[in-house]
Order: sequence, then C-alpha cells, then structure tokens
Amino acid sequence: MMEIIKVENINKFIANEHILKNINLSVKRGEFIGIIGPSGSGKSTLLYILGLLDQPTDGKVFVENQEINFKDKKRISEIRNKKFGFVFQFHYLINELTALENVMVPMLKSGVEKSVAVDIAIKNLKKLGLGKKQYRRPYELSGGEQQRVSIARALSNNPLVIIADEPTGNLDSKNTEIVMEIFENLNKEGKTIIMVTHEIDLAERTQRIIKLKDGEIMEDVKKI
Amino acid sequence: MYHILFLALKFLVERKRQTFVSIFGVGIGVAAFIVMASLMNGFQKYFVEQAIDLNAHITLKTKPEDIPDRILKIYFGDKIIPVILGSKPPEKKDKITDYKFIIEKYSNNPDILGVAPHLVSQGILKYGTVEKSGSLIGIDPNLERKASVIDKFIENKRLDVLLADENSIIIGKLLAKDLGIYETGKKVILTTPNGNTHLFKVVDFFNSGITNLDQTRVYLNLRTLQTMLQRPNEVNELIFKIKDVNKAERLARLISQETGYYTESWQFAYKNFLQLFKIQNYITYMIVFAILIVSAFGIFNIIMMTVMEKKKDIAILKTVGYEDDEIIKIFTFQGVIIGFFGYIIGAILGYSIQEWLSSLKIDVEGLIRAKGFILDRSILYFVYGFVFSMFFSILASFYPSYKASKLNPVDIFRSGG
Repeated sequence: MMEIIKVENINKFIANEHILKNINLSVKRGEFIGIIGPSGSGKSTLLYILGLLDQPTDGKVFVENQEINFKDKKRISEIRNKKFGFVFQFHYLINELTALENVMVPMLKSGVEKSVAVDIAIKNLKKLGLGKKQYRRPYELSGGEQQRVSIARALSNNPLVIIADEPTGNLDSKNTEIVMEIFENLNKEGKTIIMVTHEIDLAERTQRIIKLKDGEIMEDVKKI
Repeated sequence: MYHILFLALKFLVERKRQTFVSIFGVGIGVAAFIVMASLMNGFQKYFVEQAIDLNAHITLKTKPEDIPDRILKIYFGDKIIPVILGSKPPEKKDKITDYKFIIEKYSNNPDILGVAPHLVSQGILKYGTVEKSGSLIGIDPNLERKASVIDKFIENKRLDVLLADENSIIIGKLLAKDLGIYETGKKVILTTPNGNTHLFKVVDFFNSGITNLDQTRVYLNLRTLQTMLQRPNEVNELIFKIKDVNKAERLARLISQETGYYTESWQFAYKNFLQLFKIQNYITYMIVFAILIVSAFGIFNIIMMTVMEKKKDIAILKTVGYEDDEIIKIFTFQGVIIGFFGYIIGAILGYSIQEWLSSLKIDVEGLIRAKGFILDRSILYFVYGFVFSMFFSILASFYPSYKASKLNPVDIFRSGG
C-alpha cells in the first residue's frame, strides 16, 4: 500500500522538555490508526506533526513521499487544505456561520465554486444525518451534532487522511458510538484515519494501535 | 477573494452595534473634514479673489526710507532691540516723477493687462455733524478700469461720473453707513491733510464685501485730489493688472529692477493674511486629523476585540489551510468595510451640511461680509475624504490583523481553545 505520511527520527522539544524521542512512523493509504497513551505521552504532539500543524525540532516528515520543508508555509497550508481533514475534541465551528457555511469554509479556500461547495456540503451533512439542520448555527446544535458538522467539514475537500485528536473526548457514549461508526464507515470507504484517544476500547476498534509512553513508541500493533 | 470577503462580512455583521459605532465615527470624521475644508477654503478663496481683484496685482511706490533701527540692525544683526530717541521722519515726497513714461512702457508688455496711476492720501469726510476718516484714492477712471476690476464693486456702475463731474465722489458702503448716508446725491465735505476742504456729491458706493476696505475707501478724480493736495501732476502709486496672478512676485521684482521703484505683489501685500490662513489651515486639519485618529482607534478596538474573541476561529481557519496573508486580509477587510461605509455616511452627511449651510441667508460680518456662508464645494474634498478614511481604516486594522495572522493554532488547541 502507498505511504501517505512518513516520519523519520523525529524529536520534539518544548521548553527544554523532550516530548517526542526519535519517532519513526509510516501511515499507509486506507489505514485506521489509533494512537493511544497516557496524558503527556506526546500523542497530540505527534498528531500535530503528522498533520503539519507543528514542526519537529529535528527529523524528517514526508507526505506522499515528498519531504516537507517547514519553511514553505504556503505549501504546508495547501497540503493541510487539500489533503488533510481535521477533527478535534472541541468542534471549533465558527459561530457566525451556519452548519452548511462551516462545512464550505475549506472548500472556498481551495477555490471550489460556491454552488459546487454548497452541493458537496449538503451531501456531506446529509451523509452524517444533518440534512435538516444545515442552516442552524453551531450553538443551535447538540454536542454530537456539532462534532458531526466538524467531521463534515473535515471531509469537504475529500482529503487523503482524516486527523482526529480525541474526537469523542467531549461526547457522551451515544454520540461517541455515532462518531466511531462514522469513522469506521469512512475507513471502509477507503479513507485513511489517524485518531488520538486515551480510551483503549475506542483504540481497539482501529486496525492499528500505536502506544506511546514518555515520547516513545512502545508498541505498534496491526490487526490482521 | 470571495472566501475572504465572505468571512470578513460575517464577522462584522455579527457585531452590529460596535460596527455601526465605528462606521459612524469614521462618518463624523469625513463629514467634519468635508464641511470644514469647504467652509475654510471657501472663505479663504473668496478673500484672496477679492483681494486680487481689489488690490492691484502689483503696486509700484516710492522706496520706503531706511529707518534708523533698520540701519542699526544692518550693523549689529537682528538680535538687538534698538531704542532710538528723538528720531524724526524724513521729509521727502512720495512722488513718482516719470509715471507717464512707466505707464506707457508697461502698457505694451504682453504679461501686463493694464497700468493705472493713483494718488493716495488720507482725509476726513464730514456729513452733517458726523466725521469719519477715509483712505483717499485719486484715480483716472479709464485707466483704472484696465488695471483693476473696480466696476465690479461700484454698486450703480457710475464710475464715469468721476470724469464728467470733478466734484463727485464714490465712498465705501460701510463708510457711508457710518456717516449716515444711505443713498447717493448726498453732499459731504472732504478735508485733506494740508487743511484744504471741498464739497463733494456722493455719486455711488464702493461695496467689495471686505469690511476693512468698505469702511475706509474713498475714490475721487485724480486731478481733483492733486489740486486739493497741491500736488499737480503728481502720483504716488501705480497699479498693475497682470495676466497670470501667480507671476506677480516675479514681475514685481522685474519692474522694480527696471524702474528703480519699490514694488509689491499682491502676495506680499496680503502676506499677513496668507500666513494667517496657513495657520488656520494647520489648526483645522489638526482638528480633523484628531477626529479621524479617534475614529481609527474605534476601528482598532473593534478589530482587536474581534481578534481576541476569534482566536479559536483563527486557529481552525489556519488549520484548514488559510494562510497568514489571508488571515490579515479577512481582518483588514473589516477595517476597509468600516472605512468605506463610514466614508459613504460621511460624504452624505457632509454634502447635506453643505447644502444646509449654503441655504442659510444670514449676515456674515467680519473680515468679509456676505449673505450666508461662502463654501468651496470642490469634489476634491470628497476624494480626499475617501483617501483619508480608507488610509486610517487600513492603518487601524492592520496591526490587529497582523497579530491574528501570527497566532499559532497548536497553542490554541493545547490550551483547550
């Protein structure tokens, strides 16, 4: 399978603290990866580096076999816009925009025509069961619905990979189940997903579990 | 660009009240600029136009004598304060001997439209028991017409009567009012400094709108005044009308060099006023500048507040690929939108106030007299207003926008947003 993201010997120091220690990791197309570890193990930092939101202190990052130059901010923004979709613990939806407009935001940035962006956003929202709530503002939606809107936003540019940082961390069990089912279905459709979680049972539902402890990969287990 | 405008407008519309206050602030600044500039320049232009029309473009006189303190300053510099006791003014006649030759010489100059002789003196006018002093100017009406626009300011256009009737006189409108004369045909007694008196008939009024002139000016036939002052065939001033008023200083220097007489351009004659206008302009523009600065701070506040409250939104926008310059544009556009709508409101308000001011028919009495306010309604003030409002809006919104662009999304996500 084709490698989508690869990191080689990456280290990350934050305020003299060694957060990530010599990490090597390769993400292949179609994988559903669960990164798990205790608080402070560096899992979110690793995810931010994989998502090109942060840069390693040293080491190399490759996206589709091309080394990333972290000084080329324009290129990094373009990759984040077109190839990655992000979901966070908090939905980070823009309150001034409707659900539909929030989903359109990454598409408008990438130059998709407004009418096309509207069609795609409506399709994505319908797919996630929010067809009737597309004109609602974020504060008019429940927590689970807000998170589903943020997943629809992550899907808007049909990304190579979805990067999710504790996507169920703020949800009740019912909505957690809904979100996990969405991820599983997306993965079945071929979407690559990297999810950070601290809940082992959620990680168990992925195909590959990477356990981090004190900034080091302790285990990298693939289910057959 | 659509995605930037889309987000800028959405952010702005959500803060209706603050946005409106900021727009209104800019509007007030723009309106103040338009109205103040048109009022101030209207008055100044009117004054200068009248001054150019009334007072010769160039005046030729005898050389002013070097007074003793000036001589001391030549030797000791400007830093001394000379005190001269017992100095007596020199007894020398201010006579231009070869004035006919000068008139003839410069009448053929293509840059000069006309030259006219003046005999200028002081006198006392008496009407009944009322006495008022006036500046007497003996003129040749035919030459005067070529060298000035005197006809424009003579109420009943009866300048020629001065030629036909040597006992006729034209006096300033306010001087007449001070004497108690409200209609022509009245007789006044004129006393000149040498003690001669003569009875004159007021045949017309001089009404320039410039208070100082209308309160003092007296026109009479040149020959009559020469006789009264016992200065036959003498003049003490020549006035020149030139094609291009902006060339007055250069031509004045040239005439002075060629004739050896002292010359004065209209700019020099009115230098105190022109200097005063400059100071007035500085003060007015400083006030307007202060208003615009306050408006700019309003914009700065609203954008800065938006940036502080929108940290999470900025973080997610950057995460989904918005670049630093796009974040700057989103927030700077908000400033531009405020500036633009502020300008529209300001321009409408300014235009309305101009309309209202020009419709007022009140008596304005001061340096000039007019019915209502004199406005210079140049489109340029609207153009400048637009440039200023946009400049201040962009300036005020740029720093908060720049700060927004430098936010690191990871910092926001780590802090839990």
